Amino acid sequence: MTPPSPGRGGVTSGDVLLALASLALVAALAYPRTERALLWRTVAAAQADVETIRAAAAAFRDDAGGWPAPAEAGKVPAEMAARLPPGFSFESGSYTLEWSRWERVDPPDPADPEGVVQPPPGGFEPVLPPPADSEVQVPVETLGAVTVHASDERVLAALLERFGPSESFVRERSWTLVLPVGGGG
Amino acid sequence: MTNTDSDAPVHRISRVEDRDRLLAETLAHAEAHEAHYKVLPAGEPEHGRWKASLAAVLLVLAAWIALTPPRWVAGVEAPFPTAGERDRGLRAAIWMQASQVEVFRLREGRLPEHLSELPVQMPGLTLVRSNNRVFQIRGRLADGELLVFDSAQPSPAFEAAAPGLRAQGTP
Repeated sequence: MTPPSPGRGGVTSGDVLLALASLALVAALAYPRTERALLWRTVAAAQADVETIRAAAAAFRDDAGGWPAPAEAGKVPAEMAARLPPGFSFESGSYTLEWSRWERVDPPDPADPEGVVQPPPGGFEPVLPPPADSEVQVPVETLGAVTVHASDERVLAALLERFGPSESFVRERSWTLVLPVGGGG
Repeated sequence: MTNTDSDAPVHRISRVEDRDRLLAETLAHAEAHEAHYKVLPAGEPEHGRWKASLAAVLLVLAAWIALTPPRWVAGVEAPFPTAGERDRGLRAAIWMQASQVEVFRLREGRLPEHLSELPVQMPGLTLVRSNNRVFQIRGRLADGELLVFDSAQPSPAFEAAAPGLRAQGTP
């Protein structure tokens, strides 16, 4: 009987090394595309969530005449809940949503060289005691804001690019969309 | 009984000489097999080097792709926020916070002791009061640069950084 030729039926160290290198190459090719696809999926989901919140807030503002009351990050604002889709969450695996309200006074008079906001008629210098009934009428405008908190700053950069710097900005690990007084719906 | 079947027991191989001879033949046959397997075929060393070289090339290629994936591998690029976007974001945050302080001042007739007195705060900012009316909001960029908003001399760069915050119809 003729013995089998050596090296034909067995596995050599070269074969093992080649197989491992091939696996490494396949992994290196597959990982970036998969990771990038997951990133863009997160960006798309965050963008859709922000649009949903903006629409719900605008609907509330149209009905109630003001923006909904703020809530902690990850919590659905009570006044907005009825206008959000069932099961809508402010907490995602990749990001956290937050609704807040910001106030601003009327812009300063352009003729004012210092641009400092002026006190109301009558002034309050020296310091006035706080009003007892807290019903002082101050020319204040209220802005709504949707903030996305994410550890991956690429998500924030993508949101900034999609919504534009005229409406939003990136700060540390969060991105904020500002809804102006008369718009945003 | 004939002796045609070689596997059938034969009386003569039971002799000591025959058994020794058969054992010696068997051992020799096994040694021949062993020797045959130990000898590499003529092309095997070249095959081994070729596989090792190819594996090294594939490993280098895999490392290059893993460290700096080209666009044709990774797809659409996903950049991080630029330094300019971070700078503008901090200015916008400072301006929003300064607006909150102004609103507080108009309502309460005084400046807040701390930003925590305000209903909303931007993280990482500090309030410095100069007197009952003038204040500063300070924040640092990632590289440590300090940005200061001074309510007595507000730089237009802060409000310009947050155009969406300006009232409707304002220039």
